[in-house]
Amino acid sequence: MKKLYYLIRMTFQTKFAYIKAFWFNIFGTAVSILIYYFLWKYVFQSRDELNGFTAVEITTYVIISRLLSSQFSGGINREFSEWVQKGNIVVELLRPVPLVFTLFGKRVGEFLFFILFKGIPVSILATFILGGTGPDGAANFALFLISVFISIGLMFWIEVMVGLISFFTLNSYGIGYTKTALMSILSGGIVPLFLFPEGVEKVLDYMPFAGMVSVPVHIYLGKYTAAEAFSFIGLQIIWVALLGIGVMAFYRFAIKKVVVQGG
Amino acid sequence: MRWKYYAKLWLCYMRIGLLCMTQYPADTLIWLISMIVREACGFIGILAVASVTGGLGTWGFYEICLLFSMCAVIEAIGQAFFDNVWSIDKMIRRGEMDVFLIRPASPFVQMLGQIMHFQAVLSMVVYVGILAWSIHGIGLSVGVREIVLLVEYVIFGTVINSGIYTIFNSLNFWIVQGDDIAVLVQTCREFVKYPLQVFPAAIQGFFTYVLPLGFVAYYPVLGLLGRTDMPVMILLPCVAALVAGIAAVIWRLGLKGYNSTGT
Repeated sequence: MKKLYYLIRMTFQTKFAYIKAFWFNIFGTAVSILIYYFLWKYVFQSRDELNGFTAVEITTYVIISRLLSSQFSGGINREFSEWVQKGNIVVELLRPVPLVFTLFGKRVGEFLFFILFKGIPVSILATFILGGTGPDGAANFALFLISVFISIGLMFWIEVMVGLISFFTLNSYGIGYTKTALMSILSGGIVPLFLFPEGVEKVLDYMPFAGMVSVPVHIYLGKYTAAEAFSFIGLQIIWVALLGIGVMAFYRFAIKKVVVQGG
Repeated sequence: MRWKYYAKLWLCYMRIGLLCMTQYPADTLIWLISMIVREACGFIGILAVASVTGGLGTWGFYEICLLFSMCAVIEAIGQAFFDNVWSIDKMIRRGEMDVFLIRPASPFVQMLGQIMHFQAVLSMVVYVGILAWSIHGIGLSVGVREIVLLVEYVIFGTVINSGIYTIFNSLNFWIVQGDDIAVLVQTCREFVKYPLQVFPAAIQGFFTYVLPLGFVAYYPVLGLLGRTDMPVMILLPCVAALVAGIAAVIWRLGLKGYNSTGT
């Protein structure tokens, strides 16, 4: 536990050292919220609801989904790739903590930083300025928080997997961008999943990606019944376990391939 | 003649770029996929919105495809041949600009020639395909006027787009890490991928009069569809000339004041 605390603290210090990058990140998120806010506003000029969503609910959807999916551009995959490419991975492998634990600590730190300094302030500000709605009751809000916290596990395993790919190619930037884009679209971070054709929507609902954006936001807006909410959260947990097993197997295979360049 | 010399020089730079690309085929493939996926991400989002809601006002499915593809073509040309303006800050900090100054060719041409991303040319093939498909879908009869407009859009759109990037990246000559502003400009560029009409008048005005990115694709599309009274064919070269003029002046002033690094 103590180790985790220090890793989290370390991540916070790094984030504060690069505070400018953080402001740019906020600006980017704000622009993307605004674009989709205006797009939807335009759509709702000629209608009152879409698939059970009112204009206010869609505004809330845009704010929270854009915020949650803005995490996809970060993650530990970039740092992990850098370790592999620069050879620092040797040091990390020699440490008395497992490599995956170090990465997890950093990821949790990044997540907490995101929640404290971006998630909470931006969502409150945007909800007031753009006119969104609050959570649908305390129970749903609690479930929303649980769902968001579980999503760290989902993101973490996918990021480790993406990072591991850099054992095989040096172009980690291209892969990183692809990851960001694919995750935002598949998770419902860009538009709600119900806009996709029905078959596609059904599949995506049960994929791990939905657990990162679509599920929490739907719970927040009270779009799921209690039973549905619990089963979706259960599904998230199952996915975390499955991804964990798969990625760890891949990790053990890939780590044997480490070739550290001299110098 | 100087023209002949520059044409030859440019061909040599292109040859180097091509060789670089074929050197790492897997790398090239990853770049290509990541570029297309990134572009497709926003595209799928707005298409899903448009197809479920039956278009955005007067903007139908194919019109949105047209706007997106026209925007993407210009961006791809920029990435292919003008991407090195993003390295201006690095070149100034490391004093790499010196090399260009002692060679008997325009420093600007030399700078652009340094890096070419032919991968972007490949991705452009995809966008041009979508462009042709949407023109076909709209049922636009392509006559002399449309062809002239398309040619104008490719040339002047590129000049406006890359000219703006040049202007803001050239700020590095005076400000340390001035590329921050360029990154902000690039973030704002997201807006012009969508029909400007859906945004408030202030945003429309901003991208028309202050930062004329609207002329990169939005106004040419309006011109093609015959939806505007603006003389787009006359305005495009005028705006392009203005942007190019400002970019040239700023670049020259910056280069005049450039006095290498201390080391």
